[in-house]
Amino acid sequence: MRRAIITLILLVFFLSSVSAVNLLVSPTRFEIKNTTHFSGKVTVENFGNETIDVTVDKKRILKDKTHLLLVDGGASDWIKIKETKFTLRPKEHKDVHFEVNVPSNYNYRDSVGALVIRATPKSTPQAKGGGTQFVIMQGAEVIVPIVIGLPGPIKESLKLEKFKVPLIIITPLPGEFRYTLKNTGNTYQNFTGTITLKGWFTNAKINSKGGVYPGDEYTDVVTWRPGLWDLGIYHADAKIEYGRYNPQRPLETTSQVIVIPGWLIVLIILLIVWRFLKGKKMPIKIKIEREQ
Amino acid sequence: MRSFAPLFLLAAIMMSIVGMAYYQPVTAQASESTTQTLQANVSDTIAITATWAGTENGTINLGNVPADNFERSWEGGDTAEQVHTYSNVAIDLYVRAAGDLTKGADKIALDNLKYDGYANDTLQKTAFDTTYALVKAGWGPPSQGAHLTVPVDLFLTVPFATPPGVYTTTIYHAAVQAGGTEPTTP
Repeated sequence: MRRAIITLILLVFFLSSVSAVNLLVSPTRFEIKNTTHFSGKVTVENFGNETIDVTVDKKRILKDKTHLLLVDGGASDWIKIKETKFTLRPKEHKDVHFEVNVPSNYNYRDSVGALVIRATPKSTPQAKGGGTQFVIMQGAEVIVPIVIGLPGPIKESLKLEKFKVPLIIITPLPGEFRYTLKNTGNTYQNFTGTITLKGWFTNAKINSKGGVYPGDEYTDVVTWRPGLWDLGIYHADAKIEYGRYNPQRPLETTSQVIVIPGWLIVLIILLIVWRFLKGKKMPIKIKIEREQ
Repeated sequence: MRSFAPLFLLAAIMMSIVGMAYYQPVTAQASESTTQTLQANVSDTIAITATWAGTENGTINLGNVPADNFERSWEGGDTAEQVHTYSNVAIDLYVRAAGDLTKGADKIALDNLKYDGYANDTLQKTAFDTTYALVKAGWGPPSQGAHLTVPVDLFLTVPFATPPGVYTTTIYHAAVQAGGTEPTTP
């Protein structure tokens, strides 16, 4: 009976020590058009059971297919935040007010800034015992984009900075194709990329899409896994289509990749081994025994 | 007395007239019903949490690990690391770490700490970085009143001859509304 009670107490202790950093933010984005001054607010709430420390920072967003970079400068210089550091007890919320002021001499340009709202636990964790221990604190962040678009002359322009293809693909392993686009215009651009692979016997087509802000670079990564019978030299033709306001002349480039089936390599190795063994003559040993 | 009779009569008539002027007959008239429209604008909301069961304040305590250059793993789930979304919009989920695991001047390089899982078949075991890496795109939203959960697998290698002590770092899970960085209309 005593054991059962102790077990129950321990269970309750461990169950009650489950905890978390809980962060709620609303609204989740802002879009500002045709004005150089904007005032807004976001509501930040702690919907958990632990007190959290909250910081609010302003950044500019650089984003591609797999990465998100938050940097200083650009649109982040136009953002002013009133409440940047505070503590929220469980179930408490706070309004964070901010302003966006675009310089009056700024020409037309799409850009995106962000409010980065970060929550970390209030108390510092303590490790117990000796030896080498690892304690990893957890934080939660919500990024609130502030998309800014202003009127003025429109310039749509993307530049293909580089196109990288693998030299050899040995099936069944896939090959990665990368291309980097730079937005040299002043408007946000969506693009559609198509890589067409033309080989001796077969063709393939891979599509992908993305978006890039003025002044930013976007690296797209496309994976192609050749089929069992794909073999030979393939021409990889990349074509990037874009034009948010008017269709623009597509960006095009080409390269080559060699596809070697894995089964062919194994077959060649087996043939070489077989030839080697066949060509190697075994010496005949003659043993003479004299009768005594 | 008879000479006052006309006066009494006149007073009675006057009082009657005055009384009739103040008299408000009660008429049974039904009042018009009033209607009011109540509305509430529910705004886009992102709500996320990362949990480590059995550890206070959301801290991940991996406990004692020998410096044997051997990669150890902690599979995500109810008793380990999980990330939850209670948002009413689809989110892109990113992860990053603050930096190397440190103990004073001693440190363990961040590429010894890795992650995987997130219910993402295209994700491979990846070392933490100080820049955000996308781990789950277009996640959610859950149905009303519910939430979505993904497990996070963690891996740690402690190199040989790492000085003993408590090493710490901070990992952040960041959420942004899926497609939220793009302008909606030209």
